[in-house]
Amino acid sequence: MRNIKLIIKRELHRVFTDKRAVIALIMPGLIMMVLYSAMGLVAGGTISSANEKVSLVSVYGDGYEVLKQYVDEKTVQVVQLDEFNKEQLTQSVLDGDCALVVNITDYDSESGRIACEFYFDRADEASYTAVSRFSALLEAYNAAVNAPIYDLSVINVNANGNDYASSLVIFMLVPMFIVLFIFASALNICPDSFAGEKERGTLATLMMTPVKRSEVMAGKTISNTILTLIAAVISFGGVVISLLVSGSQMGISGFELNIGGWDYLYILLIIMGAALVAVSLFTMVSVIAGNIKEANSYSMPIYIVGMLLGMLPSFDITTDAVSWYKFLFPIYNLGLSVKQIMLGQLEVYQLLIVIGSSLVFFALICWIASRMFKREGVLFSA
Amino acid sequence: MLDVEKGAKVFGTDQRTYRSDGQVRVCGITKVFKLSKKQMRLEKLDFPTRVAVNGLSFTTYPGEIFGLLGPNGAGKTTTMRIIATLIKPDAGEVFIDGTGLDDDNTIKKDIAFLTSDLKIDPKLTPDYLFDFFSALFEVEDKVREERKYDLFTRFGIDRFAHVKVADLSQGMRQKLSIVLALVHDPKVIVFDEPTNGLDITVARTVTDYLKELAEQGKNVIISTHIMSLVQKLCTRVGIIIEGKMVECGMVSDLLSANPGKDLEDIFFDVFSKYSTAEGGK
Ligand SMILES: Nc1ncnc2c1ncn2[C@@H]1O[C@H](COP(=O)(O)OP(=O)(O)OP(=O)(O)O)[C@@H](O)[C@H]1O
Ligand SMILES: [Mg+2]
Repeated sequence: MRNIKLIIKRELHRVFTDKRAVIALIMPGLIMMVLYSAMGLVAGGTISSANEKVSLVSVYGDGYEVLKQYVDEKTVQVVQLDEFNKEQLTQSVLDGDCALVVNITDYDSESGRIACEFYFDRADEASYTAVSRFSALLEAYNAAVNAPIYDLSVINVNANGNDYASSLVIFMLVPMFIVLFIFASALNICPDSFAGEKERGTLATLMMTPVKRSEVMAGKTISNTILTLIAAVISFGGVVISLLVSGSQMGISGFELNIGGWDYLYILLIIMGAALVAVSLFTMVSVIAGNIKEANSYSMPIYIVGMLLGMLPSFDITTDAVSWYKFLFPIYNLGLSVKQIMLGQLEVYQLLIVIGSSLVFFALICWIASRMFKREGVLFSA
Repeated sequence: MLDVEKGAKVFGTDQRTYRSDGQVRVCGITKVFKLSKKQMRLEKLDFPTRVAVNGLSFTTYPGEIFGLLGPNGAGKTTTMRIIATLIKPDAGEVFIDGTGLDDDNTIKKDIAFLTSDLKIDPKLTPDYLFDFFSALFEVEDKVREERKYDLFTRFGIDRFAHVKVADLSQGMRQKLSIVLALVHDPKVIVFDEPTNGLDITVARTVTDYLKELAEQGKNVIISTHIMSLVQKLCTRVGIIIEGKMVECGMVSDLLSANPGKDLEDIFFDVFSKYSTAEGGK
């Protein structure tokens, strides 16, 4: 334990007495902050106008009576319809006379279950906002009566228009950026820890002392984790600032970007999970490689695969509920869970699966790495 | 227990190689390396293994400087790494004061291993490194400060104690690496090619210090192929060829047994006598 502490102290001392190393450590986070705040500002500017207006929603169907009490009149103004003329209503959405048409197709007074159709214009920002506000209303109802999930089909009435949501794709980039920057930070730190020491010949010097290999392994892994976490927390600061700058509430494509309180904690936890995963992988590579260059070239494919895995959920634009097992896959689950947070759909148990899977992955890779470190050949690069 | 090299010629009156009362006893160690495919291809080899050390035995004593001599690839570095517990032998054993190396975390407190490719971290300062290594060796604070003062002044590092290693001259770094290897005041000092890459002034400081250590009763083992260094430093030598000890004894006996020849001539004779065509590289 004492030796592990000594090694951690030395590793941190090395970095924090070196200006360049400190800059390299906080750079990804800073870039994230600047980049993201800039993009957030741009996006925030385009959205705020729709957000301030009240959404005009036309509703048809019996079930509306029970929904009524959940309507927030400051944001949603409802016109009740006596008859449902699809053509005419579609046209009114296209013309912008009303933002959204809701057709309640079924209402079961016993269970409280509601099925409905949304008719909206995917090219229109106001229509998007209305969708998100009305689905929030349905959710509130659903939660209050403890009814089974409502049946909802969202129907686009504008076949030609560009998807308005795609202009907000930057929010879907949050998961990608998180994975990307954390992997970049870890890639900045880990190759030096073993491969760099081998290259400099300092690892053999260290092994001449009574320190055990397992202690070196533990000390270095812990300090790599600490350093990556520092970088990660700075990146986290970047995410928070950008989300605050761009406004914490915006309606995007039938879901609500509603980030607040707990979500920040969740994002922080996910970032930590990502740091553990990245550190274990790149530390293992560092153990195997004979020098920094080798470590970097072995790490590159892992970095790219990791990035792709982390990005994958961002490309999936469906907003359906996600099966629990998808949260088991390391790295992929990081991007997925951040995306779910952005959608306001992450469940606590899913977060726990993600953290658990990251920890297991971390432990497994560290175990493999320490097995490799016990092979004597790893001490000398020749 | 094998204490003697079978077939090794022990010359002159020195019979100590045979005795089992030495401080460092190397008993029949063998080390076989697995070669990578790349190595095999590069060196055009048929077998994926190389016997680096082959049943090697010798004994060394406190107060002497023992020289391991041999051509490139003879197995000197491998032998020293085994003594220094950095690698484990496939067969045979090494004892230091009767203790086997398996218990390497206590035995390490008795050994120092130095080599030209044991380097020091460029981002840290001599002062920090001295304290760090002392802490790993569990040296008491008071002892550490005294020792640091002694060694730093002796090697002229004191003025640079708080300068990062990256900014030190090559010679200063070499001296520092020696100082750092000795923070724990070891009994046995294993030094692979001690003057390799040093300029003559630094080399002189180093060899003088090695002599002094031997005079203090330390057991110094060096490897080299520089014969003038052997003549100046070593009391006893062992000649390794292809991982085997072929001759071992006092330098003075070696010289008197070959009148009119200097050490270089003698070693050349030995090499041509023992080395086989297919042997080491
Ligand atoms: N880690 C290793 N893997 C494979 N082969 C090795 C390894 N270390 C040493 N060898 C081989 O073992 C043999 C002995 O090497 P060693 O370094 O002990 O020789 P040496 O006497 O120190 O030579 P030199 O005078 O060149 O330093 C050489 O043929 C070398 O190529
Ligand atoms: Mg050598």
